Amino acid sequence: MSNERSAETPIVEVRNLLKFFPITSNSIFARAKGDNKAVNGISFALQPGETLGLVGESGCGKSTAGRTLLKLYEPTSGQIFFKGEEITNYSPRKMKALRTKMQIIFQDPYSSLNPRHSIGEIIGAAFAIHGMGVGADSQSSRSNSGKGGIKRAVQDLMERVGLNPEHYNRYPHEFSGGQRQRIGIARALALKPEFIVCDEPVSALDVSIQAQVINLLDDLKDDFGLSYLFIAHDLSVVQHISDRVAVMYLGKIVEIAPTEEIYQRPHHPYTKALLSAIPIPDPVLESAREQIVLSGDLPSPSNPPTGCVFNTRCWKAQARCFSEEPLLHVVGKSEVACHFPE
Amino acid sequence: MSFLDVNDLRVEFPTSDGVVRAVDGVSFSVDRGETLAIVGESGSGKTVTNLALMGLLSPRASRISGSAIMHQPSGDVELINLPSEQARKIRGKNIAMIFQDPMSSLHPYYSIGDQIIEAHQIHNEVEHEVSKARAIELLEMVGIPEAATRMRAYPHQFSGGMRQRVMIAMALVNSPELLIADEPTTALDVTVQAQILKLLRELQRDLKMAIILITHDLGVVAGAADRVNVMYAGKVVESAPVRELYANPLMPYTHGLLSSVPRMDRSHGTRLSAIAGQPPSLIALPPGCAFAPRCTFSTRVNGGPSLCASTMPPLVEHAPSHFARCHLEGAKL
Repeated sequence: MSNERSAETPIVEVRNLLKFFPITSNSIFARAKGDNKAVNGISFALQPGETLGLVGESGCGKSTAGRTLLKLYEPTSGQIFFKGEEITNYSPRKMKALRTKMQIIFQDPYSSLNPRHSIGEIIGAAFAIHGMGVGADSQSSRSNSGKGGIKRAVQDLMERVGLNPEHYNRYPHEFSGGQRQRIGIARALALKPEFIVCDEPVSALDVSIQAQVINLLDDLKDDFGLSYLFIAHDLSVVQHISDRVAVMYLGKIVEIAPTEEIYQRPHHPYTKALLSAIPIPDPVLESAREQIVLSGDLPSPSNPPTGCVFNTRCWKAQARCFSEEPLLHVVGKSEVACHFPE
Repeated sequence: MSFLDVNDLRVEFPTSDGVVRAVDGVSFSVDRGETLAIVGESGSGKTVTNLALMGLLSPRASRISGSAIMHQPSGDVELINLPSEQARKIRGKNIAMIFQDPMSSLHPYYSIGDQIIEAHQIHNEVEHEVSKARAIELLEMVGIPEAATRMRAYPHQFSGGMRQRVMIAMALVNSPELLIADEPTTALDVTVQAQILKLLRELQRDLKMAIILITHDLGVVAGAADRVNVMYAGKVVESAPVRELYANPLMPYTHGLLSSVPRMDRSHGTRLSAIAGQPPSLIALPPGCAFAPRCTFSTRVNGGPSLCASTMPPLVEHAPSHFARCHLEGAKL
């Protein structure tokens, strides 16, 4: 029985995850003035081989959610599971061993690469840190034994992500933003992880390259049985790569549904507005359709609205939306946190 | 009538590895009230083209040739290699620019009010109070609530979308005739992008200014542009009115770009048709068509792939005001 269940064990699961960042005053006797409630109670499970898209505007907590579940940030409360094992309170040492299995591709290819290291060093660092390729660990040395082995492995990776392997000794500043993002992807792939948090991995890339990378991520997923948490603000990209999509707003998941469903039948008003804001690359369709242009910005996550978090920008908000917080409930094939779903 | 005529613009950067031909013989014109989109991948020369027009390239690091005539009631002005003293008078006055990253293009130590006032004071010999009133007017125009109070705020106190609005307000403070918007919404969220694009459309309608919109986002182009120039490896490879370009792309690169965009109105799970390979190095450009190594249509060319590899096709008008640079017979894809 337990063996059967293990096949269905989610690769990653979070339960009621909270991540608050304290806001302190400038005084030297810094006292917390409040909390930036970046992630305010989210739960989801990711099955092996599945891609969950996590979308929302900047400041909605999607990146924080991704980093917290990798324990790059200590969660404020809640539980994190990796392959059924709770890792919420893992020590840094235990986490380090686990990090070969869980990787991240960062959003900003400028600040995530050390400008003083050649890209060979940057990508090869993963092997060095985890003792691979120095011959010390017979199991992991594989074909990477010795410096030449690492170089060859790194160059294979570079080629795989669309970089010229001859650029092994170049420095990050010699690459375009798009190419730098590929370096970051190569680095994440180096240790053949099982789960990757892709934090806006293609938003810095050109369309033709973006398509290559989406296809590449797709291929790698199939070849290595990877699972992705794919964080992005671009819903058309997410649509292509995800099996399910979760929409975040102000630290909460407001809608989670299979991809087809969320694009064809969005139930939450925010999801609807988000979808309508995406420009369609067709001038005829684009001028014909009606756009919902939301007014205003995201409210401050340190002081989220009471009731529904979206009530300040929602055109359907009624008295109940200001007094009672809607919880995720099943509507059709989706789960929606709205009192008046579409 | 056209506001700006660019003719055979070339920008070269000598480097220790060789000469980078960032812009290689680009010609176009922009009419008043028109939005010209320049689309291309990173390194295609779209930004450098406009930096050259604005006189923002260091003469020590770059070699610029060709011409860019700005038509003024007082006479034509040649923008290329204009002495910096004169370029400064045009920059921010006749031609203004907004950049992709509103955080790094605003000064973090000055209040946004002071920065907008400064932009006005440089070009107008008026009292500080006049500039201040103008700054508040602009902030209101771009939709910043409580503009008079927010004048004292600093860039870090604004969200990305609000910062971009401040950038737009600053660019428009002297009522420019041409606004160069270099990836103005790339750093923004889609809902905010929709707000900013709507704002730019409304401002253009009210102020009758020309806009050069530099972007890689074909979705943004579809909704915002009148005319599109597609750039590749420093050259304009296709130029057409926006609807014509999307309905009937003639250059294989444009065709590839359009089909590689993930689209929401198509079913999910379909594989994107990516363009194989990478853009060529601008140092060692092949003698022929720069796109030939990545092109899947070159086998159908009369004369075969060898023609594409050896001879650069000219920019030919295949349909009314639809230009493309391709050897393919009648450019039928």
